[in-house]
Amino acid sequence: MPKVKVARQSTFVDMTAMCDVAFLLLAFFILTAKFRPSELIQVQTPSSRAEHAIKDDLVTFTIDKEGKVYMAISDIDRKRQVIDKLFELEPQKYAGVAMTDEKRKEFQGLEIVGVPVQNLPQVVSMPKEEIQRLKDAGQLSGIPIDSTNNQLKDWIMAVRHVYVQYENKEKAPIAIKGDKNTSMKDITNLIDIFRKNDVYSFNLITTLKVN
Amino acid sequence: MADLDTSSGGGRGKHKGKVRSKKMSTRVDLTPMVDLAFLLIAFFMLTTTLGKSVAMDLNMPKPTDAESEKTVVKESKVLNIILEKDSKIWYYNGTTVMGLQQTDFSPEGIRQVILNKHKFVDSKFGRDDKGDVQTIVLIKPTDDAKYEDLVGILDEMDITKTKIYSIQKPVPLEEEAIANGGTPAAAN
Repeated sequence: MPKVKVARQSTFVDMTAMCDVAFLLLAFFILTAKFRPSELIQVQTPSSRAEHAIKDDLVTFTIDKEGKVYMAISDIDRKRQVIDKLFELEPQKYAGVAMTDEKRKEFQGLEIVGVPVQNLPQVVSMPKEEIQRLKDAGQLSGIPIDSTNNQLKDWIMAVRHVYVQYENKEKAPIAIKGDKNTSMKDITNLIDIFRKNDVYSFNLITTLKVN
Repeated sequence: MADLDTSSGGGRGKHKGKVRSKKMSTRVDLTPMVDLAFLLIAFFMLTTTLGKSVAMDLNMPKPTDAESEKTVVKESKVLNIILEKDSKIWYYNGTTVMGLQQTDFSPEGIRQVILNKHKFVDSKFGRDDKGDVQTIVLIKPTDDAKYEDLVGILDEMDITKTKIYSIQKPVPLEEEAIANGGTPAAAN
């Protein structure tokens, strides 16, 4: 009887297909990954279990460790409306501020409001690197919030008016982004200013806790 | 591995004398490349979810001084939580500043305190119309507390399904009590 030869099977597995899939997935994840944009004001947000995704159209008030307050408006059209509204609501207080139409256009490109209104015309024309340098030198003072010169109040009013007028919303989408080491004294103070100006609900921005 | 060379060594046995150069395989071992690709995939998958910012809702009441707008609550439903510096928590029941106890943010700490309070309130008052527990938690962060602690305690409210809570300023008597280690000086 002839011997039945068992054909020797190759142990080689073709990796090409697997490699294709792996790189396809890799390309997908690289493209969809949104790295956190390098932010001018870096705060370490506390982590929480809250799972609400943040809205796209948001006015974020960032408060850093030292209690300085900065404002960022995500929508550029709103930005223009807010700056217009600010000068419309407080014509006397900001009478001497030369915020021309040109400057207001530049304001739309400003990432974050972190100076008193009086310094805005100067700051809006600065390139981003210049502002970063100011920040590093500790010269970005934040929006004044002391009771004698409370400009935060004016910004809040302007924001509220804009959202009521153009969006027919009862409340503006206001978020507070605090550093986890911010003292509660500053946070309470900030929340009190909001409450005095009829803003009662906020989003607290946190990082998703992974456990 | 995935790319084992199984060809028998160059056929040297059959043709003696003739030296043939060994045919090189054109196959490239892709295993390390796939390893690398998956490693990078894992990295990108993790970084996309880790850096995600989420929002927590917070509603505050309108500030009022009017006596008529103040709500009277049953004393035994109330749990006061005072946040002190270095993430220390003090708590006491009722509305009289007495017998403050200290705890921390661990799951056996404040969470257990709230859950025990829930049990007590449930046995005494039962659930409300919506089936929620009726405990009223008053959160009182002192000025030295950190923002992280506030978010932490709001998180605990969510975990323990506490529906009625409010953030208030601690009264001087409470600040005195925590400085004094649990009992206000007046009681001594």
